[in-house]
Amino acid sequence: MNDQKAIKTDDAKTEAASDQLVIDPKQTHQIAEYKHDRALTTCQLDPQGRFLFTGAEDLQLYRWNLASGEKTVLSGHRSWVRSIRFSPDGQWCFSAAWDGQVGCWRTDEEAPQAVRMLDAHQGSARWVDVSPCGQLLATCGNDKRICVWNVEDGKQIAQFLGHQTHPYAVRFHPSEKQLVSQDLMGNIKIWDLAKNAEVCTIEAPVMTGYDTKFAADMGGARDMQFLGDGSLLASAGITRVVNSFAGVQDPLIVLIDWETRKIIRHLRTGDFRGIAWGVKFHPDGFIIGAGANQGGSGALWFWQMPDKEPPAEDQAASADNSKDEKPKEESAKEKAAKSGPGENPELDREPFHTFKLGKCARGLDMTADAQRLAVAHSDGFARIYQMTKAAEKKPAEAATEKKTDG
Amino acid sequence: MKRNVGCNMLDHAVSRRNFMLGATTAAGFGGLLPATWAKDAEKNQKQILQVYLQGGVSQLESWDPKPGTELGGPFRSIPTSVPGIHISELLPHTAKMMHLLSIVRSINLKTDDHTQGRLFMEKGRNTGAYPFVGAVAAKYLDPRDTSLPGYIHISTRGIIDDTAGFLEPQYAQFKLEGVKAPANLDLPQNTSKKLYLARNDLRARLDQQFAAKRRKSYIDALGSSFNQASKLMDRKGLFEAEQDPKDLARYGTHDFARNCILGRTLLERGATCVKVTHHGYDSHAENFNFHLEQLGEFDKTFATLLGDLEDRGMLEHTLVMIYSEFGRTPKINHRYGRDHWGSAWSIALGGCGIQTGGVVGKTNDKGTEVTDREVHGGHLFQTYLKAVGIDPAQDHDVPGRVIPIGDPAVAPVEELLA
Repeated sequence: MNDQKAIKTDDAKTEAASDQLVIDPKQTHQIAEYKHDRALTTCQLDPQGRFLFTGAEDLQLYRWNLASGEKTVLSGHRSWVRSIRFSPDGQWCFSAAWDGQVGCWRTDEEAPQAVRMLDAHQGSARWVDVSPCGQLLATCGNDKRICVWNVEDGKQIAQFLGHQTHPYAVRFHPSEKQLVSQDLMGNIKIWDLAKNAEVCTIEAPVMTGYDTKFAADMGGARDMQFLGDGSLLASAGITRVVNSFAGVQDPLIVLIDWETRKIIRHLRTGDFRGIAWGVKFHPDGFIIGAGANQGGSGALWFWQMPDKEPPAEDQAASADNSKDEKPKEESAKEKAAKSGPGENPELDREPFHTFKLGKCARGLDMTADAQRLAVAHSDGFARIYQMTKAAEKKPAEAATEKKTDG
Repeated sequence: MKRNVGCNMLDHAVSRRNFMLGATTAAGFGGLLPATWAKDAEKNQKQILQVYLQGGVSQLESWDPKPGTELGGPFRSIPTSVPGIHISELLPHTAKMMHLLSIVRSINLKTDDHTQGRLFMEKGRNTGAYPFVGAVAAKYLDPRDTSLPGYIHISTRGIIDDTAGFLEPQYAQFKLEGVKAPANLDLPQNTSKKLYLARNDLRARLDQQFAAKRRKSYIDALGSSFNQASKLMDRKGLFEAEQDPKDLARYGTHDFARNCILGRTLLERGATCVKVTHHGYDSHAENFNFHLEQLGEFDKTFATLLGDLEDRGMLEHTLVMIYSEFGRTPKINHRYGRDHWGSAWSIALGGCGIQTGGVVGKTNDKGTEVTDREVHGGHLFQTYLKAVGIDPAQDHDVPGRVIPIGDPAVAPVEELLA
């Protein structure tokens, strides 16, 4: 199926010159976009770098050929796809949807059909993750269960109960011995796979808020990632709830030291109001976040890894000067909320760089070569951003652009 | 100079009444009840239970789901106890009680404003100082010797409305801020019961003298407020009772559950109209997560309450309304939110005077327009009243003025009426 052509704004292949392969977040620029007619909900790149898979506010899963822009529709879900993951070898794709099902697809089939649809959860299946060995799936859903499945036969082999509110995300630790899940109230539970038991709960109340006006809670993980060696866990979400029903809260990414189980960083976003929907560890020693602003724009943020942070006195000098929004006058209510327990100068860090996005980011992934980012946007586009210096325009292209502009 | 017996007097009456009742009414009616209260409950006068989903519940996530459509959102629909009627999967417990309810899916208020929508739904007119449904019910259905205020609103936060309109202030809503013991329940420290009664007697005699040159209704309102306050103070012990753990196990332990238990008890004890507000539906952002949480609270609790009313035979004389001030936009915004939408949305009704197990009206495939049997707050207002035996075509009992109870330009939704 190929009902939409990709629109490429630049050709990534032209950027292969060696001096243009140096990763520099401050050089981030868009190189391609793929258009769908509904808002996207999530995205994931296959490990071999051939395809981008996206979910949308409809009933399909979509596969985009990154080179050709060809779109393939994968039908089988009965609701929006919320989470996508691949097996380590990239041969299998797994999708979790609001219908409670988890789909299993062959990644590169010409017209993929669901090999299996797991009735994983009563109510929405919020998240799916694949174990590092590729043999297990972990899912969480609105039935408050964390489930582990055998990929081979689709049978459930374990379930973990203990979350009192809806779990929003689940991840395998790289050691494959433990699972971690986080719920609406910010509680992060660690589960032992061998003992089939809860290990402990890390409380992260900074990631949830009770909106007293509307009498409702908001919080939870919108994305979770482990550093490759498993020593750090990052969880993306919100903090400082002022008026959650209007989207007035701050994005936040929390870093947790796995050994001590302590929160060691609050990665903040200046004056940006909204939600952090994605987080990635970059092998060059920085952390990338993606988020959606209450006004409809988005941002990519870049923070230093804790062990690469400059000394405290230098941090102000290196602070990001390209924030998404100009500082605005705060209401008394906003100021009061800011002085709440979520503020902690010892933990709080601002990004060293912010890349503005025209539309809300709802999902984030990174290519295996760590040069490019894929972002699912609320305007229906999936966009690819390159973190290296942009290619010089060829004279003919520059002339054409100038003529068009004129 | 002519003496002013107008608004100022009314203002004072409201103020004094609220002060007195605020000092005496409380929550927790779960304990033993005196014979007089039981007597109230036996009267079987028509009553109303209003469950108000404040902020505007999404019709697409509740009564009029459009799963799989462009704007339908991520939730699916589920069958109900009435073959052919499907509602959102977020209401599984209510779905099992659908035979006790009917849905109106074709409301167009022509406003997306919270206050305008709320007033239209409560007053049946989109303008003017008319009384709310609860105040009208309190005036025309309330037995005069009731121990409770006629129109009681249980809510965890305040929305200030003039609910009585031009009716006497004793018919205005009496508000309970959730289930908690009010302050100042006791008599002042140095005031004995004997002294209090003597004072009250003196006040009544002074009022009698004072009333001679004033409008009777105003003084009556004052007197009834004091009398009602005195009755409630006599039953102080009732207000301090804990709610039954068995009820809490069935309804839940959150505020809305506790408020619904209290609401049921108040209806059992003879309150004419009880309104229970559940907050948190104005979901301009994260509409789906918030509806999952909020309707998750509402569903089991409401279904349990409805079941209790049925089991106790109360639905025969109690109208049940589940409503908002409007619905939410079919269009989903960039915050995963839905905004205000008064043009095509839904409510549910059940109980006394309602033909249940049906659906009135229809919206188009996207839910953006009413395509069949369009109604607004005026039609619904008259339907509520007719269901409990008040003829909306009659005039209000207001001396010297002719004011139709319902808007004469519209009629009740007859197909909803039993």
